[in-house]
Amino acid sequence: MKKIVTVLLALLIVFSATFALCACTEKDTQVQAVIKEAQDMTWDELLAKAREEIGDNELSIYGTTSRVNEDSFTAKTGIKVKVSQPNDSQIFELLKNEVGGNVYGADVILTTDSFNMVNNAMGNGWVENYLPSVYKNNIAEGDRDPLVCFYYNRAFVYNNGNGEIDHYISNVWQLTEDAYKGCEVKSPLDEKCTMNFLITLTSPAWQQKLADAYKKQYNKDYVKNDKYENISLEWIDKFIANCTFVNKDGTIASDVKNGKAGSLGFFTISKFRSVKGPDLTICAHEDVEGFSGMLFPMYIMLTANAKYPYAACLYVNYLMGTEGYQAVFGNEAGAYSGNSSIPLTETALEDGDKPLNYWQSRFVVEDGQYISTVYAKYYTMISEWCASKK
Amino acid sequence: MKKTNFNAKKTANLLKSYFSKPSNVLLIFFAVALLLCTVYPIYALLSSSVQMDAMDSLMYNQLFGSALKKGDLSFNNYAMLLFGKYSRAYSVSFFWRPLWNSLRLSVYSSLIAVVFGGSVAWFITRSNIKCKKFISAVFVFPYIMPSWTLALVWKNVFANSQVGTGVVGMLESLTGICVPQWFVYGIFPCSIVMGLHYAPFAYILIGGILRNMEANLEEAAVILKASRFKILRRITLPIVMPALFSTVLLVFSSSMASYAVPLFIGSPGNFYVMSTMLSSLYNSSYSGQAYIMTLVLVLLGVGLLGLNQWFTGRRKSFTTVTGKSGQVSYVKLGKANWPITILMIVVLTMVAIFPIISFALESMCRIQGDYSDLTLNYWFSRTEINEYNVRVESGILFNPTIWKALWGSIKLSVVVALIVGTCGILIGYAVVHNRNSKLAHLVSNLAFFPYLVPSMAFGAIFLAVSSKLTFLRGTFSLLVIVGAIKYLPFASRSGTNSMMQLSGEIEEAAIIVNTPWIKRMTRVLFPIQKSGFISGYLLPFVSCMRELSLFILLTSSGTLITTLLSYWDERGVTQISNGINLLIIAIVLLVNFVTNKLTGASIDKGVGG
Repeated sequence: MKKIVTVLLALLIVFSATFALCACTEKDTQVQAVIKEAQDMTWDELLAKAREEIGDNELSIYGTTSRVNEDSFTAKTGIKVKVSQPNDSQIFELLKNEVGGNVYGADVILTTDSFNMVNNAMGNGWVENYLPSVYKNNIAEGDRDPLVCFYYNRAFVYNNGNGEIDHYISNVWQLTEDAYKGCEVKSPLDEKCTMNFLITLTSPAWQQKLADAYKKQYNKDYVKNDKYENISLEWIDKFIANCTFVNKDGTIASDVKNGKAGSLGFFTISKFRSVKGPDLTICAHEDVEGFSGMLFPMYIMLTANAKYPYAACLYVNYLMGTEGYQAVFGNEAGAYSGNSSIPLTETALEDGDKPLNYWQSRFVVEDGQYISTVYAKYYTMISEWCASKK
Repeated sequence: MKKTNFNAKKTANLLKSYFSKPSNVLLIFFAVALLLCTVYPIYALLSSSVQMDAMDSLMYNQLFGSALKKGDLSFNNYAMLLFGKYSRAYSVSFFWRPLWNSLRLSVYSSLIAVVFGGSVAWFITRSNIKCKKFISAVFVFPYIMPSWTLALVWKNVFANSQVGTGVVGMLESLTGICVPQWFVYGIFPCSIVMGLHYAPFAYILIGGILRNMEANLEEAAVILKASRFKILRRITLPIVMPALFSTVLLVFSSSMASYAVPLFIGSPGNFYVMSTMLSSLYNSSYSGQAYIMTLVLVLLGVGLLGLNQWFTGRRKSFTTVTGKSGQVSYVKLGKANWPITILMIVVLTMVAIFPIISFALESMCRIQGDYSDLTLNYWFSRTEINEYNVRVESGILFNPTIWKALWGSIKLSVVVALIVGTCGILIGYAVVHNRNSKLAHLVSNLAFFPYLVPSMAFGAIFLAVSSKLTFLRGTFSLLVIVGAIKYLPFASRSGTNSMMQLSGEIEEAAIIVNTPWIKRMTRVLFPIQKSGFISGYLLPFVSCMRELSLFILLTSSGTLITTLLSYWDERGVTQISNGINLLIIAIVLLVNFVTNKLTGASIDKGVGG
């Protein structure tokens, strides 16, 4: 009897283990299984697996930025990379066709579109998140899934007339006044991150901050305007009416630099260096009531049907490390790794850049989760204002 | 039974007789091929406009509280964009006003292009104006350059302290004159810039005909003592009318789909057109509405094409090339000659030479826009350049990535031009030989169809095709197919116009002496209309060399020179991007020059400098 029980127990264990294994195999796709395995691998282990997997083929990447087209990854690993540069919407169109149709197109995607990332790509299971455990503790909890590879910033900058003006902007409500008309901004119609910045502003937390700033600027409480659903929308509408839409950061930067004293623009401070001179002041350094810029993330994910998942994980690992970050951005200001252990270079600091947490306390940080709940309503409203601007 | 046999034999004989004519075989072949290449895009556009994708349904569910799912059929896209389902202001701002703006812009641009390009073509071919070679060669530069470069020049010249951030432009710094905002941004500058950019179309098409026009037509009129104006009105204009309509068709369609110019100098003046709104909707989550806009653009183009077709079909045949030579008598401009020449040189210098000089200078600035500190490092450095926010592996001339991409573009442009140019001649031949048949009209229209679809949408459609036909995905063949279809209209127009001018007697004479078809084409027809045909090869080459939006979705950034240009431009390294721009222009000019030396033809020779 004892033998029979032992045999039965043994059989039960074998069956359970087999069942569990089968269930696991059924549940985890190949990419998910590789991600699990790769998470705790060392660089060398992952590199060996990736080389074995990809051989002489190319790792395919869709990125809204061409910056990731770096030969340094190939030089370091021997793995060839092919970067295609569709815009945000096109990336999701591609994912829909390719991952949805189970056709291989890319292994890795990089995008700044948090609404589509949350609702479309993650919602439909077109992408998988890989978080290298070696960097986990250096990545903020909210930036881990979807993984934020980089943050970019955009700041209000003015021409100080060679020291003639200082503290040109002290409160964000000034940007809605006639005296500040003509601030050059990339149009929310053409660029999602500007639109996402404005939508983030409609969140309850930002409504409160705008109400506080209003009180400080006009020495009275904000009284709700019937025309607007909330204070943020009033600020947004008036700000849009006050600004001029220009299509390139570089153009805005040089317009402000070459413009008259008091010219104002909203552009990434990576452009600051190429037009730098004593004439330009980043408003954030003079403490603006409300906010003085925005931060938006660039996410990095594996596609759910990646052909070379080990190589894709290796690529993510590379970009999240110091070497990868520096290969992409070098000494440039205005871009920050999602990995907080990577410091800014001396040159970037000399150019007026500050660490990510400095900007986080002064800027509107894009909130993908909030945006995804109100996107249609506010996107449509704001874009209508932009399109009907006179 | 006998009757059936007789009928079968009769049908077989009819078929044999039909297919014994090369023009009929070509017509059938192109009808099938072009149907395949055009039906799918229309089907894709239509179905995408009514079938909800995941994002469309998510947006409408959030907005209207509906419960749409991916794949559901719905007319929400139409209702919101055209009929104000969300708000009237939304429909007006996103569709009706941009449509009105686009129509106005296209009409103005076409007028400017036809008047400016046509006038210059007339001066070059029909008058004794000075500096013909220079004017003729330089006039095509604006078309070789990307259209936004002219927009940039406009802004650099006319920006002033009263507009925007108050950057002082060239005009203000030289004269103190500040032009108003509408002169700097909005429909006025957009129309001028687009008109100038597309004037070479008019120049090439109208000039080609004027150059080949039999002199004895005008001479007969002179003998009959007709006035110059009467000759122009009764002889010259009717003869150039097909080319004029072709020009209007090309410029109108190009202007309707043009994106860069309205973006650069339209949007800052709150001037929005269909293409800028289309791009905005395509980038938003209302892609279904973007497809509707594309459909509307296509429909408008089809309407114009129909009008053109109607005109071409009803007009009497004006044969201008009979094979008999004639000495062209030039109109003497007298005292007005030098003033007109100088005026033309000044205008051309501003629109054609100045941008090239500015590219050259920008590629040498150590710091962007600072012309006091120039360096040739960005061209000649063999080692890494790492200064002022710029990190480049080596100078343009020693940069393997740039050379690789340049070779990729040249290879693509040559292959596309060869395919397109040859197909254009064959289509022209087939269409003109069957001018009154419905099939010929169909082929002629289908060949023009790709021109009506904006490049960006065209690229997106073929991206979707390649994700179904995976063997094409990311290949050079896909780029060739897309380029060949997109640029076929240039060659088919040019081929048809040239063939229409040829008198049937010329080929008939060759047929009488039993000359085979291939020999008739290569030894008789082609040499006579060489300039027109060669322009059918050169225009696709030029367009392909500087095309970005058509290919950007289909290939990686290092494959073509324009995608690489976009890469450096995005990184803010304008020294390299301007240098690459200059390189593209230089190569196109070189190809033009070499073609001219080898064949005697060139883009401008189509006009006859």
